[in-house]
Amino acid sequence: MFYRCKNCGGNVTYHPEKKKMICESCGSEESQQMIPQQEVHICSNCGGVIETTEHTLACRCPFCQTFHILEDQMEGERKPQLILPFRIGKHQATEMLQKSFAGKLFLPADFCSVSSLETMQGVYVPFWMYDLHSHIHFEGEGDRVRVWRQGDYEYTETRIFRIVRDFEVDYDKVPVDASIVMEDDMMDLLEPFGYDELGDFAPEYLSGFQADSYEESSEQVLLRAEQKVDRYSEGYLAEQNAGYAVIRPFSNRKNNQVKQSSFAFLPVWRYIYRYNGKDYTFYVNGQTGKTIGAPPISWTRLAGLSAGTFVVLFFFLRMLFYFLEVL
Amino acid sequence: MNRLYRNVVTGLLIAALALGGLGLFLQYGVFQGILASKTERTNTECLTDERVFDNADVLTDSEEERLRNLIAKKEKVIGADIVLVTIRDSSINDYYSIREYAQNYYEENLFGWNEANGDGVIYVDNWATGYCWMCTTGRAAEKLDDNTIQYIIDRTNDIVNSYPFRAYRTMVRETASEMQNLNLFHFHVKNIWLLLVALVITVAVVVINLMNNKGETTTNRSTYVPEGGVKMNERQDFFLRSHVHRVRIERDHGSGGGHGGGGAIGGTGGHGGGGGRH
Repeated sequence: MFYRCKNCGGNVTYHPEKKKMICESCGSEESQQMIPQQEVHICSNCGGVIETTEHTLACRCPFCQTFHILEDQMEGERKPQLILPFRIGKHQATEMLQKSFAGKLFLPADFCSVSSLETMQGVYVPFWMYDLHSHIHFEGEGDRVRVWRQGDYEYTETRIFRIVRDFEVDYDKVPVDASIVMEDDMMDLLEPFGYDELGDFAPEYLSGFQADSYEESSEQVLLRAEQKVDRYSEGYLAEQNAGYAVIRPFSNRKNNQVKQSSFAFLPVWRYIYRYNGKDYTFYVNGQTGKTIGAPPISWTRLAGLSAGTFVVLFFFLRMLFYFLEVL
Repeated sequence: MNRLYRNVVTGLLIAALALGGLGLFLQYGVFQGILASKTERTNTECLTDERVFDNADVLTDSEEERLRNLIAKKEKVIGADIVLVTIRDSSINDYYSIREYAQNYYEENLFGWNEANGDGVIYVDNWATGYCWMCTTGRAAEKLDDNTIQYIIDRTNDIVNSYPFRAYRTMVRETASEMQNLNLFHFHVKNIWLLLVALVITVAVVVINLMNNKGETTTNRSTYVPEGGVKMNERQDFFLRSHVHRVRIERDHGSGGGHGGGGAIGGTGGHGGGGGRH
């Protein structure tokens, strides 16, 4: 399906800045009319064939540029439950990306140039969100150390305690990406997303963006969620064990119980920059604007700037010491 | 290009140009210009017009001529005689004998800008033993203290074995500068050290900019925990035992003695200093 403007017949898409559906052709607001999908993977607007993968859920017709949402991919278990709409538009995302890398010296000249940033795409990334109940039980020994001086001697008193800690933590909506294409470590770095605008899934939000359904099931990525919350639980434990110089654990059990898991879409701007035959991918959190990605290095620029820096520094030092010598 | 980097580079360039310009202005405009000596040479008793006595024959004729010209120019600026003597005499093999030689040489030839044995400097370098000495009188003695003389000798001796002409030229220039400037600092940093410092800073700048982390983790343990989401069931700390360890504090009783300072050695009524380049 896609959203057609009642006024002009143009494609209506979701605009993050205005938080409204807006016609790309005439600018009408909330003028959308849902046109259902008539044939599988055929554009209902122009009749062109839309090339998709088995996971494609939202895409763009390569012929008429209409944004489509594939209803057949949203049936049954594949229907998303939650969606966090984009809050940051493409223009803001490009600005944030430029700002993030403004301090880097050795970037290629056209990195983050207006023309290359045109390729930035808004993507709804499939995530599993877990509500987890963790029960942590810890037993061990801890040393508290006190050092003081008296006369010609330094005294070290070590007091040994038996420690017992038992606590429970409720974690809400811990996200783990369910996409194979998106690198796990990058998606983890994009967190947190800010759930204020998280709501029930509505297909309108997908219009104007790309989306794939989940490629990994809830059971497959649960372990990553548990690893995340175990790290957080370790943080709580360390907080409670503060004051001990040395800890010797006897038992450190963490039991995680899944209270609920939801299939959700989270908003991400993706920018792929090609340099010397290699792709460098950058992501901007569509809610918070957090930017991640490792930029390429221009060796020409590195050599030039290094030589320039060296010459300027030497010149400055020479002049400084010349001046001091004259005095 | 990074705006901060551009600003820093521009700032450094402007600062370097300002320092260099100010240095040139002070050196040639003020110290050797406005503050240059205005008095003519009034010593009529001096036995010679020569200032470069290359008895050790370490300088070519043209080098001697260049030194003569330089000395003539600098003498007018500072209002004091500058005499250079090189010898090759193995019997002069300590500071006392070379000091005496220098004093006698100056006095016997009746050097001095204002009068015989008046304002002036003599530098004697013995190529047979490596001893050298600089004596000052009159205005030169007032202006050049022992530390300054030592600094001039050290700078001269740095290269004298390899480049005698350049070394003596440095001696003349430094003597003239030290006579005229404020004498605030006595040091000379060789270019090799400045190159090294510039290289180290450049490498540091490059390394810092090459640190290519993808991003920082901005979640923490409370990111996904709602208010009241942590429930403490049990928290107990049972004291088991304790022990005390005692260590004697080592005290540093030794204290190294400092080096003795060198006293001024009176020359021809002034300061003097020597150095070796064995």
